[in-house]
Parts: sequence; C-alpha cells; structure tokens
Amino acid sequence: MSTRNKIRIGWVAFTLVVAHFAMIVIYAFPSNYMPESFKSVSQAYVYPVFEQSWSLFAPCPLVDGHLRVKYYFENDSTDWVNPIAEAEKMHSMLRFTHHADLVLGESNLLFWVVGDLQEMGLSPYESFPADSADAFRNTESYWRLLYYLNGNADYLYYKKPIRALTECSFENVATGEKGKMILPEFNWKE
Amino acid sequence: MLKSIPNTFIQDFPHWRKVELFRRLLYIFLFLNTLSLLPIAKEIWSYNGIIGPRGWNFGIPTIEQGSYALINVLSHPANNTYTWVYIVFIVAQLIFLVMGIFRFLPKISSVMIYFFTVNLFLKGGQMFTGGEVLVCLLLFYLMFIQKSTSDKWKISFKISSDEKPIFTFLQNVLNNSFYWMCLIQVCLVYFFSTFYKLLDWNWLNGSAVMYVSRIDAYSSGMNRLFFADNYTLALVVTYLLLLYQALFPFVVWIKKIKKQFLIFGVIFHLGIAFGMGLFTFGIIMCLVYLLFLDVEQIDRLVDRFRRKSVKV
Repeated sequence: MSTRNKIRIGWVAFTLVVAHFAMIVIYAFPSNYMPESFKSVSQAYVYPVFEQSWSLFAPCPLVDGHLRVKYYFENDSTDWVNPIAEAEKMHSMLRFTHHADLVLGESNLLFWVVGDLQEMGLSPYESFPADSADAFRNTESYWRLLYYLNGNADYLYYKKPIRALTECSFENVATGEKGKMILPEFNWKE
Repeated sequence: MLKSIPNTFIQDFPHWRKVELFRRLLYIFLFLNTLSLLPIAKEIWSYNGIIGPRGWNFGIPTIEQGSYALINVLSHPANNTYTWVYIVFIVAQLIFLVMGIFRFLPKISSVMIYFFTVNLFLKGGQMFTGGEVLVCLLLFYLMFIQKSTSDKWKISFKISSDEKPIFTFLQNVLNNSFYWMCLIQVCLVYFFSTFYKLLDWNWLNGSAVMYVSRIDAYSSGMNRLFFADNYTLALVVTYLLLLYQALFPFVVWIKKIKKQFLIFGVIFHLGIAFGMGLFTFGIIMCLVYLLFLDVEQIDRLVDRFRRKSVKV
C-alpha cells in the first residue's frame, strides 16, 4: 500500500474516533443543553452498547433511606424485618464481598422510590395517601420492589410470599426532616 | 502537527505491553469479582431474583433488536423456564476469563468475555456502579486490540519485554484507534462527572461530601467519622475532588506531573473503595490509570513490586 493511502486511512481512523466520541458527548449531555434532534441521532448510535451518563453522585444524594418488610406466606408470616441487616453488618467490616452489592442494590432501589414519589407530587417524609396507590403501582420503582421483595423472601426464607407490607423510612441528611411511610401492599396472588 | 495525526493511527502499535498488562489485571479483577458474587448469584442474575428482568419487546423480532437483544439475553422470558441459563453465563465468563488471563485463544476469549460480562452486568445493573459500565465499554474497545501473529494454542502468562508482536497495517490502525478510545473514554468519565457536579448547588457550596457521608449506604467506613459533622474538612475534600476531576482530562497528558497527579487519584479512588464501600468502582478506576502511564513507568512499578515480593 502506498504511503499516501496509508495516511488517508489514518485520517479516516481519526475521523471515526472523533465521530464516535461526538455522538457519546451529545448523548451524555443533559437534555436542556443539547437540541432534541441531535439527541435522537446520537441515541440511535450510542444505545445500548455505548450507553453512559456519568452523573456520578450528582445531584448529591440527600435522602438516607431504609426499608423494612413484613412477609405473609401461605401458612405463616414474619415480623417487620430489614432484608439486608446481615449485609449491612458485614459490609461495615469487610470490602469486596457480595454484601456491598446488596447494600448498594437497596440504596439504589430506594433512590428510585423517592424519585417516583416526588414525581407523583408526594413527600417521602409523610404517610402514603391511600388514593395514590394505583398511580404508584404504575411506577418503575413499584415493579422493582415487587421483584426485590419476592427475591428476598426466597433468599432469606426459601419460600414464596403471597403478600408483603413495606415500610420505608427516609431522612433528609441536609435538613434533618424525616418520616416513615407504608407503601401500598405488594400482592403476588392477584 | 497536522501530519502527526494520521501517523498516530497508522504507526506500529507502541503500547502493546501496557495494554496486555491492563487487560490481564482487568480479567483477574473480573474473575475475583464474579467469585465474590457467587453467594448471591441467583439473586442478582436469575430471572426471578432480587433484581427483575429489564423487559423484552416481543413487538420487535429478536433479529431486528440487534445489539440490544445480544446484551440483554438474561432478561429474555425464556429464562423463566430455563432457570439454569444464568449459571451457564457465569461459568462461561469464568472460563473465558481464565483463557484470557493465560492468553489462550486471545481473540475469541476477548469477544466472549465481553459478551458474557456485559450480559451479567446489565442484568444486575441495580446493584452495580459506574465502574461496571466503564468495564463494559473498555472490554468492547479491548476486543479490537490484538496481535496479528497467531499463537492461539499457546498458553502463556508472562508478558515479556522481549516479546515482539507482529501487527499488520490494518491491525495497527485498529490497535491505535481503540487504544486512544480507551483513554478518551476515561477522560469523558471525569469530564461529565465534573460537569454534572457543577450543576448541583451542594457540590458548589462544598457540602456534598458531608451529606454523602451521612448516608448509611456510603458511610460504613471512616467517612462518617471524618466528614459527617465537620463542614470545613468536607468542604476542603469536596473542592479537592472537584478540582481533581476537572483537571484530569488535561493534566493526565502532561508528562512532568502526570505521576504525582495519578498517585493522588489512586488515593482518592482507594478512599471511595474502602471509605465509601464502592469497592468495585474504586479499584476499576485505579486499574484504568495503568493506561495513562508510560511503559517505562510501568516497568519501574513492576520491578519495585517484584523486589518487594522477593523480600517478603
């Protein structure tokens, strides 16, 4: 191959690398900083293989959440339990074990719950209004919780629940505001 | 200056040993990471585990879903019937990682490692961090950085400095391009991480580290002790983090101060790994720094490590 052609190929490679990252930059920028038409073109290229956002800890998380569950099985039920109590204890002593992932998994889940509650116009520090139950059952966090609670019953008790009550306690670490709420019942028999 | 641009992409790939060392360490880390997750493998990766499936669009034929279907295999409803599929994925990932570590069938193993890892990470996404996202991207880029000579049936662990790999012209173009893509990708992580933080008042006023340390999921280490009620210390650390992240995409190219800058970065990420408990993310970011070091710096690092091991 002639040197001239090699240099041409070098330029093509450079252009492709620039184009690749241009697409990613357009995709990863917040929507209000980038025209919608640009976004839709970049989405077609970036999603799903190069998907990324990198808003790591931004906005700063302000809500500390905890979850307790009361399971009802076919013939018995449990007290209110913290499904990751053991994981939290182990995680505080050890790193690089699966306990970290369990703790992070619940923390992420509660982050989504707070997001969905706020989107519904509800405060995470007040009790859950009964007339919002149906709306909550259409949120993503409800479906995530459904799997989370079902999977945890299997993990902790080796059996499938028929229903479960969930109590979330949230505290705003900036203002100190805190409260508890019982979410609408989770039912696997329906 | 302008002439050096195409030359950067067509030159004989000069970073082979560095990339191979990085690749090997990344594979070893992924292997240990998967082993550490085995006690909750069913909860994370099975169809009916703690983390639900991501959904499957039956409205679009699988073949037309393209890459989405390929990296979303564990969310296919067939997993509800064939409940052992996730186990196959775990075992296959571990086997191909071992093959990759010993450079056995390197091209095939790198493709398979990407396929199995990205499927596992995507299914368990709720429990993972940005570190796993970065690993998926880097594994994709690494698939294209290969040797042209074929010693695929030879098993070797050592990365010798005498090794003289042969690259065809096209392989050189691929290697150089994807090597630069790995580096730019890491810089993008820092760029966007800074950008998003600068849009948030709690980062701007210096209280972010204090608030994060008050959240139990991120403060099981020394974090709470140091920062939860000490605004001044938290303010200093918040601004140091912002400054480090903002400068990274620029300073990391300056040879004179790169080493000291990356040492600060390693301390910062080890703080995230051990202090905040985001172990995987912290360690992956430390590993990624290898790509920014010169081969000579890596050799010195390896020598020092070897000497210490011999002493022990």
